[in-house]
Amino acid sequence: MTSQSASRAPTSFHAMDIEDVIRALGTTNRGLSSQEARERLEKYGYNELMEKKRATVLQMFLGEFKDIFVILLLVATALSVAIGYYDLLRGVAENFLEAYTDAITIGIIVVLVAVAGFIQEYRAEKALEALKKLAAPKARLMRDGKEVVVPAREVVPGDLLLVEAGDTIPADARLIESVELKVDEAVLTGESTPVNKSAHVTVKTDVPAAERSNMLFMATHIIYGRGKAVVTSTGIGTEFGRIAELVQTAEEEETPLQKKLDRFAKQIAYAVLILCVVIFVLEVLAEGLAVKAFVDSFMSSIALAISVVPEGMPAIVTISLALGAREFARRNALIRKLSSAESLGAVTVICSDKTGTLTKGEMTVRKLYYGGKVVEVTGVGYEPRGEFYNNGDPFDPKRDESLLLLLKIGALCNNATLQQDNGVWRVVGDPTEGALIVTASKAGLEKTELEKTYPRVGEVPFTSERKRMTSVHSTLGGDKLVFMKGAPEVVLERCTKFLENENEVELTDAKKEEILKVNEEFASAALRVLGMAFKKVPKESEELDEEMLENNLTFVGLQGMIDPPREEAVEANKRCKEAGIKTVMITGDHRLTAIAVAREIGLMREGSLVLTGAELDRMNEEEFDKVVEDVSVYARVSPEHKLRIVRALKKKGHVVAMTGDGVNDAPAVKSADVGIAMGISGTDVTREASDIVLMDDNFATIVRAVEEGRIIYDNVRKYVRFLISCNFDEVLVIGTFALLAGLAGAGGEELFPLPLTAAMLLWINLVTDGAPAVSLATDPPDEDVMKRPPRKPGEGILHGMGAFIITSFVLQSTGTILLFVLNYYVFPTHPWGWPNGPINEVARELTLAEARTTAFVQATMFELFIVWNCRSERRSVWRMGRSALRNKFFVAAEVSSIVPTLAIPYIPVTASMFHLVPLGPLDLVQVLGVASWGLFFVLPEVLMGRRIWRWE
Amino acid sequence: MRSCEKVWLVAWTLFWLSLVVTFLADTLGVFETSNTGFVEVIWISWILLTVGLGLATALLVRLTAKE
Repeated sequence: MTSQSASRAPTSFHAMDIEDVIRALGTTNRGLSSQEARERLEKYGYNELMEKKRATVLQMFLGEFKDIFVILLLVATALSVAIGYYDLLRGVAENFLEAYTDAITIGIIVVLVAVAGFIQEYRAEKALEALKKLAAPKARLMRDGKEVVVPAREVVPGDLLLVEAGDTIPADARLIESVELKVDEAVLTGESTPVNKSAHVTVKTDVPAAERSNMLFMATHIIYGRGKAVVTSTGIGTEFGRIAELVQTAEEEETPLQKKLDRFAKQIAYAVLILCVVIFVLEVLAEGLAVKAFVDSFMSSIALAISVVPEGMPAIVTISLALGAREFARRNALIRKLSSAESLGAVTVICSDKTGTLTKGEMTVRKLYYGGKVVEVTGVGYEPRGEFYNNGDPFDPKRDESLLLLLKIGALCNNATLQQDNGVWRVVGDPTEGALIVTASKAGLEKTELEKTYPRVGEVPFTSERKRMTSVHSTLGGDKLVFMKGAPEVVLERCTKFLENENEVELTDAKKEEILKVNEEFASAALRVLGMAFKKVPKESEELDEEMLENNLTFVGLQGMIDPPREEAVEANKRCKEAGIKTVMITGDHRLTAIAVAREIGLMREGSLVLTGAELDRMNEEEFDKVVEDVSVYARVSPEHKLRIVRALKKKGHVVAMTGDGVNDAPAVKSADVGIAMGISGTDVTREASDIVLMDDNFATIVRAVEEGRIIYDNVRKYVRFLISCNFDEVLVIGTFALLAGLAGAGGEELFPLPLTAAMLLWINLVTDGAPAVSLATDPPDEDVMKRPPRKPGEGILHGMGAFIITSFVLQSTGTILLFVLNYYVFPTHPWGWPNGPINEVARELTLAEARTTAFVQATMFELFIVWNCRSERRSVWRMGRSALRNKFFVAAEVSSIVPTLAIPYIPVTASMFHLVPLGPLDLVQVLGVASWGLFFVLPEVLMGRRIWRWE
Repeated sequence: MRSCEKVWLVAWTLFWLSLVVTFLADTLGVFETSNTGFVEVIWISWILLTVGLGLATALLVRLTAKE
C-alpha cells in the first residue's frame, strides 16, 4: 500500500490533437523507454488511489480499548488491584489470590472483550485485502517498441496503452488509434449502455468527462473493438481518483447501536459516580471519621460501583456481532465494520443501484416479433435456459422455421461469444450481441455449431452512423446467405419483402407501419429493439459489394431485450415489504428503463414517484424533503444526487442502506447508515467506502443480512433487558442499608450491615451473569423477526422494557431484603441481642454470614431464573415450551452457573473466601421459593411493550 | 385490558396483599398465645403460597395470552 499518489497537472488532453498530446506527454509511437518509465514512476508515484493509512495490527488492537465500557473496566481493574493491595496490607486477604481475585477476574474480561473485537475486525480486513489482491489488474503497454504486460500500478503518464475487448482501463488515456471501440463506463457514470469511443473526434475543452469520446477512463471496461492510447493521468489524478477523493471526504457516522450504547454507558457512568459518592458519605457517617473507616467506605462504594457497571455489555455486544459476522459470511456478506451488522437490522430504506444489484447487468431478450406475432422468452441473464411462450402457452421453437431463422440471424450476424467459466456464463463482446446468442441457444441453436454449417465469408461492420451490421455466410449448397441486424427503422428501409408463414411476401407500407408500431410498443416497455433481415444470394452471383448486400432484403422480425431484474430481487423485495422496509432504485439509466424494471420487481406502489436527476436539480431542499419519502425510482442521477437523496432520507429520520458497485455510488455508500458494496462487480473504492461487502452481488443477500441484523439487535436487547432487570436491585438493597447505617450514625454498621459483600456482588455480576448472558447471543430468533416493521430509528435500546424492568427490580429487591431481614433480625440462628439486648459480636457474625448467604444465593438464583423470561419479547418460558431448550449453549450456561452458585457455600475454601455458610433444607426452600418469583411473575406477555415512559 | 393482563394484575394484588397479611399475622401474634417471638413457619408457608400463586399465574397467562 502506498501513500503516494500519481497524477499530472490537469490538462485538456481531450481537446488536443493526437500529435500535440504525444508531444505534450513526451512519448513516441514506440512508447516510453524502460528508463524513462522508471523515472516517471519515481516522479509521479504508483498508479494507485490515495488511501487512508491503514491501522497497524497494534493500533487495531489498542483501538478496542477506546470503548467507554472497556475504559470503565480498566479503571475497575486498577481499583480492584488497589483494593487487593490494601487488603493484603491490612491482612484481610491472606494470600495473593484472595487479594487479587476481583482484579484478575475483571482483567480477564477486559482482555477477552478486546481480543474478540480485534479478531473479528482483523479477519474482515484480511479478507478484503485478499479480495483486492485477487482483483489486482494488469496493463498491456508498448515500451521500448515492444509489447509488455505490467502490473497496472506501474503505469505512468506517457505510457502507450494497448486495449481490446475485455480489458479494464488502468488509467486515464487519450486515444490515438481506435477500431470500433465501445466502452462500458457504468462504474464512472452509471450508464449501463456501452459508449462509442474514437481517436479522431474533436471534443471541446469544457465538456464533462462522460462526453469525452476520445478519452479512456480508469476502471472502465472495453466491451468491443481495440485501440491504442497515451496515458494522460494516473492514480488520484484520474476521473476515478477524483471521485475516490470525494469518498474520502464524505462524513462517517457512528452506527445506531454505537450511539445508543455510548449514551447508555454515559448514563450508567453518571449514575455510578453519584452512587459512589452517596454510599461513600453514608458509610463514612456509619463508621465514624477515622482513616480506616474512610478507606473502608471508599473501597466498598467502589466495589458496589463496579458491580453496577455492566461489565459484560461490550463482551455480549462484540460476541453477538462476531457471531452475526460469521452468520453473515455464511450468507455471502462480508462485514467490514462489526457494528454495522446491527445497523442493517434497523434499516428502514434500502437505496439500491439498479444495474448489477437489482438486475444482473446481463442483457436478455424478452420479446420476439415475427410473422405478425409476439413471442415471449423466459430466463434471466446469460444462462441459456428459458422457454418460448405464445399468448401465454409454451411451445417448441424448433418447430417454427421463421423463429429459427430470426434466431439464426441474431446468432450469426454477431461478433460476441458465449463462454462458461466455472459454471458461470459470460459474454465476451457486446452484451447486446451476447443476448442474441443466448436466445438462440435457448432454442437449441448453438453459435459454434451454426458457424460450422454457415461459415462467415464476409462482413459489413456495425458503425454508429450506419446503425446496422451485415454478415455473409456460405451454405452447403454453395448459395450465400446475407444476414442483417440493426435499428429496426434502418433495417426496414433496406427491405422489400417480409417473411410471413415462412413465405416471402411484399413489404407494404401498412406492414412497415405495423412493424414500427410493434417496435414502439417494445421500446415503451424499455426494451432495446433490433430488427433482423436476410436474403439469399445464388452461388453464381459474383458481385458482393455493400450496395448489393444491403438492399432488397426480407424482413424477418424483431428481438427486444432488457437488463432484467434478478429473479431473487423480486422475492427479496417482497420480504422487504413484509418487514416494513422501503426499497428505492437509484440509477444512471433512462427513466423508462428504470420504471420498467421497478414495476417488474414490485418497487412501484400507489402514489410512488419517479424523479430524474434533472428534476431533482430543479427542486430546492424544502421541495425535495416534501416528496423524498414518496419517491421509489430515481433515474439519470449522478453521485451528487445520490448523496442528496441519502441525506434527505436521513434527515427524515430513516436508517438508510445504500448499495452500489460503481465508483459513482461510493460517496453515497459512505454517507449512508449502512454502506453495502458489491464484491464481484464492485470497485475497490466502493468496497473501501462500505460497511458490508456482498460476495455474490445479490440483492436477496441484503435482505437475508437485514434479518441477521435484526436477530443480532434482538439478542443484544435480550441481554440488556436481563442486565438492567438484575443489576440495579443490588443498588437498592445496598443503598437502603447504607442509608439506614448512615442515619444510625456510629455503630450503624453493626445494626445495618450490607446484605451483600463486594466479593458477592462481583461473583453475581461477573461470574453468574456472564455465561447465560453470552449464550443469549446465540439464541434463535423470534418467528416474526421479518414480519414486523423496523424499530423506530430514535427508539432507545430499552424501549418497551420499562414494566418488565420495574417488576423484576421490585420483586428481586423485596426478595433479597426480605430474606436478609428474616434471617438476620426476625429469626436469627444465633440470637445476637437485637433489638434490645447487648450485642453478642460472635453470634452476630454467625447470623450475618447465614443471612448474607441466603440473600446472596437468592439474588443469584433469581437472575438465573429470570433470564429464561428474557429470551423473547412476546413469550415467557412457559409459552416457549420445548423450544426453550433448543439453545444448547444457553442450557449448558445455566447449568454451569447454577451448580457452582449452589455449591460454593458447601465447599470450605470458597465458603471462607466469600464468607458463606452451608444452607439447610428450610433455607433452601426460602431461597429457591423467593428466587422463582422471577420465573412466575415477570412475564414478557404482560410486561413487554408497555408504555411506562418514553425512553429515547 | 387483555385477559392475560387481568390475570396478572389479580395475581400481583394477591401477592402483595398476602405479604401484608403475613406480616400482620406474625407481628400481631395471631398464631401465638403471646407476642414474644417470630414464627418462621408462617413465612415459609407464605413463600410456598407465592410459589403456588406464581405457578398458577404463569399457566393462566400462558392460556390467555394471544400473539
